Amino acid sequence: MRGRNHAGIDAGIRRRIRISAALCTVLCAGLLLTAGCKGKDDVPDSAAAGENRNTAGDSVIVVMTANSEPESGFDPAYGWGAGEHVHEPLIQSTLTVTNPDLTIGYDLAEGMEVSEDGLLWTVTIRDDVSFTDGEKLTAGDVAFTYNTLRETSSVNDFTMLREARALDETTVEFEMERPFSIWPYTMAVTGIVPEHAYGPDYGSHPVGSGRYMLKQWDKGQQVILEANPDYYGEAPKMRRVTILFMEEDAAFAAVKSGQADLAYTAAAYTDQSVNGYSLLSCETVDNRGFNLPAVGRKEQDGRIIGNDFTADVRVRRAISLAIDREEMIEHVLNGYGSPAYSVCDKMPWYNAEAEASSDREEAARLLDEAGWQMGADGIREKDGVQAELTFLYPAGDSVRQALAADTANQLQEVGIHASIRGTGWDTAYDEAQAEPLIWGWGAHTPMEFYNIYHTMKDTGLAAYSPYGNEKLDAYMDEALACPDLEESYELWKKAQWDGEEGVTLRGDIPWVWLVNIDHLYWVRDGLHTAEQKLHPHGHGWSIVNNVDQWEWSAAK
Amino acid sequence: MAGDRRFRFWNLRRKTIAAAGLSFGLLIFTAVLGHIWMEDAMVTDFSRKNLSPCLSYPFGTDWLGRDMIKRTAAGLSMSIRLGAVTAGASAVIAVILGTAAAVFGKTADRLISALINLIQGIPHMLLLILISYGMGKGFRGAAVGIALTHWPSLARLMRAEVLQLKTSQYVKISEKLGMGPVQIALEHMLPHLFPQFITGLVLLFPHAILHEAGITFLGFGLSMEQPAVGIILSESMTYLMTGKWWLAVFPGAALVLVVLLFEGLGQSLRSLLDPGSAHE
Amino acid sequence: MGKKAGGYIVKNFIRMLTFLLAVSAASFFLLSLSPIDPLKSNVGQAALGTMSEEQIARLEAYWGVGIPAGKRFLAWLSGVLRGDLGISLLYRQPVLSVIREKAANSVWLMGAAWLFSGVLGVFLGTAAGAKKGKWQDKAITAYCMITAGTPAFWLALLLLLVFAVQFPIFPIGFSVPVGVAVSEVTLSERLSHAFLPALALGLTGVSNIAMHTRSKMIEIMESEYVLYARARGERGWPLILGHGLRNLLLPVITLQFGSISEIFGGSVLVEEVFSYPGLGQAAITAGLGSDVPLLLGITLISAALVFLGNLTADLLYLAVDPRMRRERRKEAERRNTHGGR
Repeated sequence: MRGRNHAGIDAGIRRRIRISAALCTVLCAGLLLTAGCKGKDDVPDSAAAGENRNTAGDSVIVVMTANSEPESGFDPAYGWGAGEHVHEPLIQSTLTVTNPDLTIGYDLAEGMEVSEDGLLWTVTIRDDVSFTDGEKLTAGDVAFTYNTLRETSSVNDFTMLREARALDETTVEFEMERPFSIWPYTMAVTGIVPEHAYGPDYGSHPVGSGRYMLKQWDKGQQVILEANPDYYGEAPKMRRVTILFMEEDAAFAAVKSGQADLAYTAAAYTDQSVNGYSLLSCETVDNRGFNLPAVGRKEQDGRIIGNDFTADVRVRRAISLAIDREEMIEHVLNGYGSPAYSVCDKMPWYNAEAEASSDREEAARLLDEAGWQMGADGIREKDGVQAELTFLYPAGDSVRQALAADTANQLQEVGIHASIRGTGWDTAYDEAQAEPLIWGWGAHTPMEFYNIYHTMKDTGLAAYSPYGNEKLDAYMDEALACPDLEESYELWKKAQWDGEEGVTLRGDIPWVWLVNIDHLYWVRDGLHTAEQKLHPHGHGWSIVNNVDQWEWSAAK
Repeated sequence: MAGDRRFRFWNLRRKTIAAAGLSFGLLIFTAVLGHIWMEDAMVTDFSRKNLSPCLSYPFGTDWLGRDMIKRTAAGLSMSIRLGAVTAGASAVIAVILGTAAAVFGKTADRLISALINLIQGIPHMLLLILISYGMGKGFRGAAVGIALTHWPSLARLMRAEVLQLKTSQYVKISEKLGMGPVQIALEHMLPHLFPQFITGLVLLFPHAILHEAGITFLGFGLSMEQPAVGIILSESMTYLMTGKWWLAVFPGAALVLVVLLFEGLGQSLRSLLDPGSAHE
Repeated sequence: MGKKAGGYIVKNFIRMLTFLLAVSAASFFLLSLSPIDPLKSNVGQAALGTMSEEQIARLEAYWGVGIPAGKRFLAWLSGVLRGDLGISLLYRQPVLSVIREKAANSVWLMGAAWLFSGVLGVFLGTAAGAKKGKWQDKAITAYCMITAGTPAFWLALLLLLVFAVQFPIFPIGFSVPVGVAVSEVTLSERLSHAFLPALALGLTGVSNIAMHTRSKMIEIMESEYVLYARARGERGWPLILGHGLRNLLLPVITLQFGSISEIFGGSVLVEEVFSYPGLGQAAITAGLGSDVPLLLGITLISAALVFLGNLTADLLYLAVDPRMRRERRKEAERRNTHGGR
């Protein structure tokens, strides 16, 4: 009996083990297959792939923030170039460009005209441009690009365009819905895509006519660009550009280990020193500031807007005067920044009247005048209410958190009790209607100014912080409708301060601007990065706007 | 002759009680100290930023000039208190559902067991992310998430215990005498479950605390200026590269210490309340 | 026997399907509760600042704001049944291909950690069990207790600090070296990138396996056949290997397969520390970025993996423990005779 069971069990066990082993193997094979499949799909040209280390002195490895990677591809419709952070779309050409002083220059365009009423733009383009697949670039492609973007653009706004038409091979007509004097700025970041080679997959396999071609893209890690040999303009000096996407600490590690030639970094790393590298600091219009609700607290459309403390313009002025921007730059940015007095410091439409140095005594006087008397505990009071403010900052942004903390500390000096609180972008917009939020702005277009200060039709208040001034609205509308770009700059300046009213310190000051942060980079000795335009908001592609002009001083 | 068998005051049981008392005391001390230091922990002072550990700042300071020892203590205190609430909630859910599964018949059992399998079938962190997202990524979401991911294992235990208790004589007699299931549960079963419940509750703490640290580390839960340990550790990541090691080492070690204290407390309680397990 | 095995597989396949259906319904329900506005968290504050209201309305349509949850779930479900898990909103690619890409990376990590914790766990457990009460046992038990209470991501931070920053032996992150073409990455480079994360994951997973192995080992060492072997003069490792290991391995392997859930959870955290582009990081990005299709897809796939892991564990246990088989056979016979009447 026992013997029989024994033998039966043994055979049974062996059989069962075989079945289980088979199952395990199938499982493992399945897993390995998925790993293998990936490898198979991504085999690029082996020829160029081999020599990506810098041997010929004409290639460079750049590290950017992880957010800079265009996850949806190199497609202008999904934010490439014309995205949250504007930059030149190296793979495609644009009609216009912004010069280092941020006036408008030409790339594809040879001439540009706008009608008296501002509703019709006519642009003539060069006729010697081809895409990298050999096809000629015509006005048809331009019209196709703009019409497509009007329909599908997910990040930038093209709804002011009614229709783009190609009149012939080299002339394009843009019919606008409304006058839009800053259309050239939008054109400067809109890459032209080929009508014959555009589809849903364009983002991963872009065909363009720009200075560079996409050689390889390893999602989540790197992009390799190679110079376009048939480029119609000046041949790029850098033949091969490798862009790596990393977090700050990884970027620093890449520099320390000598793997990168240029890497972005932050003020927190500036006390380090790395052999063979120096710190490059680029001036920017990438500003940080906070809004101060300019109306009293009330309910509107189901949410709370307004702030009784900041509704008084004297309080707002006092807050701006109380802040020592130089001290803030020392504390938070280790000196790498410049004071900001507007959203558009250093832009052609900036009104220098906005500048004002810190004056705590004047701030105290203004607060006294507004009825906020200093209490025994160092906090001002009025009618039994203490002078309090909560500064919001986007969670995850340590610089903004530090700015909020420093602002709070500085305001304590004039008797305002300020605290800080982190918040997410999903609720921040609503919360900012009632409490100051530390924002980051800075673009190469006055449209931003409009969007911040101009009132919206349905609420009569500006979008991001409750405020409204009809006289200034009128200036901004006039500026947009103005057919001459230069003239329009003057109108934007008037909205900032026209002698009596404006959005700057002597006027309504609904927004207090703190600093323009410098964009910092570690650069390997010997690499010349050419003259940088003022960087806008965003620490990504703007550094390589002119990568075609970079060179190495000593042969490597 | 007098010294043949020395009287040992410190037998195993007494040692265990002492250990339990000590752990408990340390934990309460940390919770209270951190709470007292909560305000101080958030004070920023740029003149003293990035200091490495020294006498006046034993854990150093961070880039906003905050005193790390106070910040760590405040964070641990928050973890302990949050852990108390979530572990408590978890344990209560576990007892109710576990007992209900065993006592209210087959359908209830099947339903609750299916629920247990469902929750245990999704990796914890993923479930936490889902719940936290569903409730708006804030503090409430994280707390609810932690409470809802931990009750299944304890519930399973309770259910097994109650099933066993159901077969005991006095329960059967009570049933025959006409007592309703709820009454039986309350009067006869719960007192027996109590030791298991307490140990289960205490042993839930470490998991709750570790998961809380994990989820705040990832960015769900509390906002960044709060002194939660997960936040402290996630912020420290940025500064590791520049050699500011104290921002990660001390808070993490303190967290491990707290978790171990809870584990130790739980094990001591188990051996005290269930003496048979003391000799495993 | 074959028919029974077949029936068993079918039964479990159906169980898996109902389980996955429940998981997806529950997850979908949870996600739809969220008050988060995906537009604000994704499109970016500065971009929204330059946009008109029609543009915003169009974006809202893309992110699914305003469509009732039930409708979205049915649409998603019908897609899944056809094998289409939807399009990832953040990566703008089919969810399946995003998952495949990320999973390929994670496989290295999780597989290595899994093997590592298994092997080290068994080794430590046997050593501790064999030398019960002695200093080796105490040291190993203490080590296991400490690692059980250590968060994996803190251990990862420490490893990063020591072995990648202080002494740059290992890379500080990612799955492949920077600037190297994908096809050129060597196996050793892949392994060196996965090493620290796998170590962090594995070290924290060791304690469970080790402690179970230890108690099993103690059981074995006190059993009769080992006593008999000792009496015959066997000692030390040959004794353990010859008699202990076989009985030890199978329960441990089943435990290993059941620990897939832990490994996945740990990898979510560890991948964040090392910027390792795997499934865990994708889940975090999807969660923080309101990419509902991707998050659902990852939940589904990982739940399926966990289920398969547990199923494999059960199968192995049943297959090789004759007592369990005998139990089931008896039960089946009982059921059959009842039905026959």
